[in-house]
Amino acid sequence: MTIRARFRPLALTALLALAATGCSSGSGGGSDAGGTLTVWLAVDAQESWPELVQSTNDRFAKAHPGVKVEVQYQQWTTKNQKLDAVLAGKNVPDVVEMGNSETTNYIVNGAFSALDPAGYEQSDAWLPALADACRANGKTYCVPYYVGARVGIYRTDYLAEAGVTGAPKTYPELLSALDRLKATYGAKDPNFSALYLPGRYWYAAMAFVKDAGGEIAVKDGDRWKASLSSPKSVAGLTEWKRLIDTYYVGDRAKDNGDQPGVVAQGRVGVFYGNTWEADSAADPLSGGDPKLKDKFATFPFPGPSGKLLPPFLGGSTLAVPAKSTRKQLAADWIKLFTDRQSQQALIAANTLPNNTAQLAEVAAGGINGPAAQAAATGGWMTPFAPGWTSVEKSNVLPEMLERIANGKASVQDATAEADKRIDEVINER
Amino acid sequence: MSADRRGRRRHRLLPYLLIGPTVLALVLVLGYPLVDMVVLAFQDMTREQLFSGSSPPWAGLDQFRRILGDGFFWTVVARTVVFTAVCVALTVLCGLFTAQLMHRVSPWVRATIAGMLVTVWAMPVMVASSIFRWLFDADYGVVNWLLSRLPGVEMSRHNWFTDPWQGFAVIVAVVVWGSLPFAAITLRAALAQVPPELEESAVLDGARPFQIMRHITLPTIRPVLVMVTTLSAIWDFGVFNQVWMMRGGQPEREYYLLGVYSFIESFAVNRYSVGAAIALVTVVLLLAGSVVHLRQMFRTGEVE
Repeated sequence: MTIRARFRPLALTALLALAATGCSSGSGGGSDAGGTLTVWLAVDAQESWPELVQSTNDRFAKAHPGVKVEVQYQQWTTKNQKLDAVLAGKNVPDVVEMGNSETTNYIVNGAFSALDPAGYEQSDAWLPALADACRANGKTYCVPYYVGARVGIYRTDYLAEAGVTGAPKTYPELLSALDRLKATYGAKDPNFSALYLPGRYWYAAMAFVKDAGGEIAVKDGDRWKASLSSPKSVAGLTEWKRLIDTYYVGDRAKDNGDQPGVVAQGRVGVFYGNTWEADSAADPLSGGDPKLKDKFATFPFPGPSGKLLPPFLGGSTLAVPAKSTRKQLAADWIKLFTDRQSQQALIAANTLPNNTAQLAEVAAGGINGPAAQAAATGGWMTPFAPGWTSVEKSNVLPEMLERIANGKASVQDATAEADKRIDEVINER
Repeated sequence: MSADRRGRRRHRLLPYLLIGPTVLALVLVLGYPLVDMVVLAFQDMTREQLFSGSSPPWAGLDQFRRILGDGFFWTVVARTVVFTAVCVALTVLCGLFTAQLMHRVSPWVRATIAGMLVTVWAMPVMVASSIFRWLFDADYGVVNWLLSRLPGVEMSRHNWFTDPWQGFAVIVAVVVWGSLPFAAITLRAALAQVPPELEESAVLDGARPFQIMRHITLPTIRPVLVMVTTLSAIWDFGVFNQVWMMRGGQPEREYYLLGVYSFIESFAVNRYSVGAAIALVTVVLLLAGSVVHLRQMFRTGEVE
């Protein structure tokens, strides 16, 4: 290594320090007129509803002339690490989008400031899956933004060829459709999966746990306790494993990260996913096959219990960091971004709204109708426990599922081991 | 004479001037974080303190008691030691073979090999790891496809990372592949220093190739060999990127090495102090290893 190369970090550090002081003197004014409001949104907004962001900013500019809104788009995978780093300093964003499984840990550690829900349109009808993620000690720390619910998605042409008419409505109907798909296509092609169900796809596996009446973790007093090895949870996972054994031939150690791309290869009959994944599978820009356009249809996925398989209601909320110097402006921006008009724009972009009132307005016959139907059942959420993000980030669930799916451990043993690991961190702040 | 004295003083200052920038840079980019990390390991830092900026409470030796009393920690230590030993042995052996090869072939072949080695050297670890990950992909990887061409071998959809032994074999391959250029080029330079007349006279005395290697080549290149070995050991002990990238940023517990374990504890589980304690233990273990290196360096200095 030359001296030059060693000097470079030093020069960089100096530059960064200069840049940092420059920034903080620029936005640290705190007065309402002028300056910049920094908003961190996940990339979904940039990709799927950029017009909504633009119209919100236009309306905000009318109400607060002179305040510049700077929207910075973040990747889900790196957002929280960046957030931790900036929250440790002084120069923080004024609005941050948070997944509803991420909020609790930040709230209990005092990262966000409390908001008054009464100031937001339709706050009395907010979806519990989002609103509960925002509440702690009787206060509200974030505002529901949107939600997603997984549904069954099938190849219409394959099902027709296999002699199945229409989407399966009950679990036995689903199994018989899968049997027919397997008989029609699986016999010819050893790589054909009637049902695409990779082992690490934990949102799918946990839906079976919930369907069987099991839980990931339960609250006992003010402490959380993992409950994956309870008889009901084990029953749900056993049925999930049976589906994999019977209808899935792919790599069991995979997760659903590249699901649309795999489905686009044409060797999958039915899969469990978000509505947009069907669009991606037919979109050449995201690795899909354009020939598959209009060959997918969605249906509410029936569960073994006889009811709909309760979907994970993964969604987003918007929070104002406690260190923000422009909290009132931030709250005003969120109000506009989540009001009735904005939520309608979200529905138009094939996304589910943050409240039950508008959920009923999603066209039942549309591509997102089944998702709205599934969301209306209440769905399920990851435990609102202080240490839940640690459980997620240390991959306890995917590792447990991989062990079960690959037969490295029995359902009973793998869940007992996972419960132990979850109990170690779930109550830690 | 005053001019002479001035000259001598400048002479005495010169070394400090030369090393000054390096020391300053090291103190800034290494020293400060290192001190901070040591302090952190004796505290109990949580996100509450991170977000509020208040200083964390002292925890004394609690973090060390916690990790040293945990069986899993020792599993990771043992795994890291074995991983390092395998990587270093393969790096040095392959490096030595490649150096010998370069020593014997015609200049243009040597230039080709050197060029390829430098290309590998120039490839960022992140890029190399990603490419290896694609090569070994279960569904679309070219390795599975190639192996399946062999008669009687059916490897399609074989996941190399389901079994950690196979997974680590792939990771070792990436690490050795990446550190081979340094080892080969350095050892080749050392081989060039072996006096040819010594080898010639040994051949005249009837020495076999193995004996020449054992009694002439190895003793001559020994200082360089020790340096390559210790440096490789230091690098391989702290391997992080390769494991992280090959496991898609979500390494299973079976794939934890000390570096990965410390990172997960710090930034996934948010036990910043436990992560710092693990890092500190890693540094201490590494220091023990580097003693060999330092001793060799001082001894070499004495001889010259």
